[in-house]
This record gives sequence, C-alpha cells and structure tokens, in this order.
Amino acid sequence: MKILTLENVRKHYPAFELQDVSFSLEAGHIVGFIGRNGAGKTTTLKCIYNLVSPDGGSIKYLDKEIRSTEAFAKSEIGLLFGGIEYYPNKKLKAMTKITSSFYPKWDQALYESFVKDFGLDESKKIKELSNGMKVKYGLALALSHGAKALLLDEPTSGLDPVSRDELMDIFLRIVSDGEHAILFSTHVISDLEKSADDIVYIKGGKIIANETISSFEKKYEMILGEEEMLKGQDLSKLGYIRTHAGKFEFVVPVKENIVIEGATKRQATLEEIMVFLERGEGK
Amino acid sequence: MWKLLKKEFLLSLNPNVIIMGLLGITIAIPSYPAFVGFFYILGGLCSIMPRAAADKDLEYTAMLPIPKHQVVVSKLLLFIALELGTVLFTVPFAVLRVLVFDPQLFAAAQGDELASMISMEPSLSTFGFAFLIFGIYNILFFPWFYKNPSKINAPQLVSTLITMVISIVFMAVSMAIPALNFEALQTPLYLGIQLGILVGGLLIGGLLTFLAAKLASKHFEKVDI
Repeated sequence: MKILTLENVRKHYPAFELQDVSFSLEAGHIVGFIGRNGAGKTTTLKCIYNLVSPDGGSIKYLDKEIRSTEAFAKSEIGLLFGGIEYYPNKKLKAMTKITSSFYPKWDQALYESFVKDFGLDESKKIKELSNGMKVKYGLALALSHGAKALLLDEPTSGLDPVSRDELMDIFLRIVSDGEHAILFSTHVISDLEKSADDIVYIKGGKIIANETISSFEKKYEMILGEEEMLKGQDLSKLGYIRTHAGKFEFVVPVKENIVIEGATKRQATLEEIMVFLERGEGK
Repeated sequence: MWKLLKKEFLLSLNPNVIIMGLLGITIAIPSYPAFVGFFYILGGLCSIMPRAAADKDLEYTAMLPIPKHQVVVSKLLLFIALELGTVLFTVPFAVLRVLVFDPQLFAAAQGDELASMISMEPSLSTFGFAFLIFGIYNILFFPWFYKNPSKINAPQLVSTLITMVISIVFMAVSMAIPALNFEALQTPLYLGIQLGILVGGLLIGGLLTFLAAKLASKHFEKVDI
C-alpha cells in the first residue's frame, strides 16, 4: 500500500530547482533519502508538509491530495527537521502538553516510554538540552502522535553511535506491523545500511535513483589498481579518480563495462557510489 | 480555535503584553484622556512578533496538524483576544471614573481650565473608536506582515504609527464634539449617536479584522517557510 506518493513535484528558485520529483513510500518500508547538502531533500520534505508551495505536481497521502486534506494528512504524517529548536525558554512538559493536544491519536503512554528510553528530563527547558537531546525530544514527539508515515530530516545528526543504533531498531520496530513507513534523510550511510530497504537519491533537484539499496549498488562497480595502469586510458570518461600512494580507485556504472588491464573490480558500496558520483560532477 | 488560542497564550505570549493591556486601567484617572488607555496595548502588540520570531513560533505552528492559513488565524486570535480583553478590562474602570468623579468639577478643582472646557471622559463612543482602531491596526499589519514574515520592522512600525495618528484624531474628535461627551448621554439624540459609533466601531472593526484574516491568509499560502 502506498502511503505517500509524489508525482512530478516542481519548485523553482532563482538558484535552485526541484525538477519533477517522483517517488512513493510504501507501508512497511524504511526509505533512505540521500543526496548532498542543497540537493533538494529538505525542500522536498517541506513541499510534502505544505511548508513550501510547489509550483506543480501532485503529493498524495493515501489517495488524496495533501493540500485538500492538510490537517488530517499532517496528523497522519510526522515530520521532524533535526532537533526541536522552538520556544527555547519553555519546559519540555509545557511544549508536550500543547503539542499533544493537536493530535487526536496522541499516545501518552508511548510518549512517556520514549521519554524514559531517551533519558529526557521534562522539567528542563528546551535551551538546556544538548543537540542530541533536542533530536531525541523531537523524535519522541514525532513517534507518539500515531503517524502512519514518518519523514525525518537527518534524525541521527548529533546522536552518539549507541543512540543511533537504538533509533534504527525503533524504526524497524515501527514498520514491522506493515502499516507504517519511514523516510529519513541522512549523511551517515551506515545508518541506512542497518535499517533502510530502499533509497531515494536526489542530485541537483532531480531524483536519480529510487530503488532497493542492493539493486542500486549492483549497478556500480569499484575499480582499483596501480596508478601506472591508467596510462593511455581516456580518463575524461571515468569521472572522479582517487589517487593515493601510487594507487587509484574510482566508481563507474557496470553497464559502461570499463576494462583496465591489471586492475581489480568489486561491487561499490552505497557510500562509495555517492562520493564518486558527486565528486565526478563536471569532470 | 481554542487549541490555537491556548497555544498562543501558553507558548507564544510574552506576559509583559498583558501588563501593557492592564495599563488600560489609566482610563480611571480623572482628567486623563480616556482614549490613551488603549495606546499601551498597541505598544504591547508590537513586541509579539519579534518574540515569536526568536522562538521560531511560525515554524512550530506550521508543523502542527492544521491547514497553513490557520498559522495566521492563530496569531490573529491572540491579537483579537488581547484587543478585546483590553476593551473589556477598561469598561468597569471607565464606569468607575464617571460615577465617582464629576469630570468638569474635578478638572476645575485642579485648576485645569482647558480640561474643564473639553471632555476627556470615557463615553460610549470611546469604545466604538477603540474597536475601530484595533480593526485598522489589524488590516494594516497582518496582510503586510504575512506577505513576508521574515521582515517584521516595516509593517509593524508603519502600521503602529498610522494607527496612533488615527487614534489621536479620534481622541481629538471625542474631546471636541459635545455630542460625544459623557454628559451628552443624557440627551437621547446624543445617546443614539454614541451608540451608533459604538456599534459601528464594533462592526467596522470586526469587518476590518475579518478582511485582515482573509488577506493575510491568502498572502501566507504563497510564503515558503
């Protein structure tokens, strides 16, 4: 079941353009939303929540346009941008009391379990929380209002490795009922590898991949060898080539069938594909 | 609607704004121009948006499960509550003033000949004008501000200044026209005029505020947060 569907979403800014962004979020799936800073991840998430008005395209929650059922859709979709930074002088308790009153499916017991698990002190003011705690507090709110879809913009930034791992477990637990879905952006690729089924990869405002991580990885290969093996090769076709201590490595699409005599090949990892694709830009 | 208002009062509102509204109590001071009682809250309203910007209130509200235009409605509800609250709060003090003090005698006893000649007393028209200036402030400020909420100063400064100038005109009119004096309430014709200003001020002020909500919401729909 498709919980969220974007079709040809467009947004034009003088210096940036979101170009026909299309993807969907299936129930029971965790999707990694990846791309460099400024690629359009946050703008896309803001379009979904009507914080940014798209110039065109369609965004549906279940089968209905989000803009025609905005309040309902927002109560069913949780959105979190990093940590909570609102009302720095207010205590968590006061924030939660007001925030929860807007959500008909608010689960206070679940919220309290997150407060306990995350070690949050509700008598503290927002400004007294560390960055990591602000993220955890935001997650506790987003995870407690009964959302079917969770859209999380870099939810693991500022979290220590243990908390990140715990969070990935929480994500897996949430989608295990087959009714919920999570889309989260991150620059920590290992987080994706732990939990995500699929990736949506955005580059320069365009979706360049929307598939399972394994199928995406299978499309690219890493070629490694000694620098002297590159002599006589047409390097202009190879994108970004990393050289160090007399050795080279680069990532190319498998379909290009690049052969360099003496060099070895292996399947590229998601992180390697991202780095080499992005750094190869304009080469 | 009540949830939004509760959110505004518990999360967004600086308590000092309420204190500014409470300064409407000055309407009870003999020989003090009654209309000035409403100036303080205008000053207080000016502090709401800068504080909201520091608190990222707009971003928080837009993330709540409400349609985008209700972000505007939420803030306008707060302004209306403070404006109406100030008017209602001043009513008993206005009544107290006119019941306890004979305005003309008090002014004369103070040796203030000018004050004894013109009326600065609260009357029904004072409140009609109050509703009107709040409506004017709302229609000036809200549609302008919600075109680009990141710029607070110009809409706030200009809206407040224009409202203050119009307020001074109303104040002068109230003092200069005998039909608008408190004493004139005993004359049925003047009572009718004052009631007309009261009801007219309420209706026109309400209409201007309604238009402010419509226009500001329309502008804000196009704003990218």
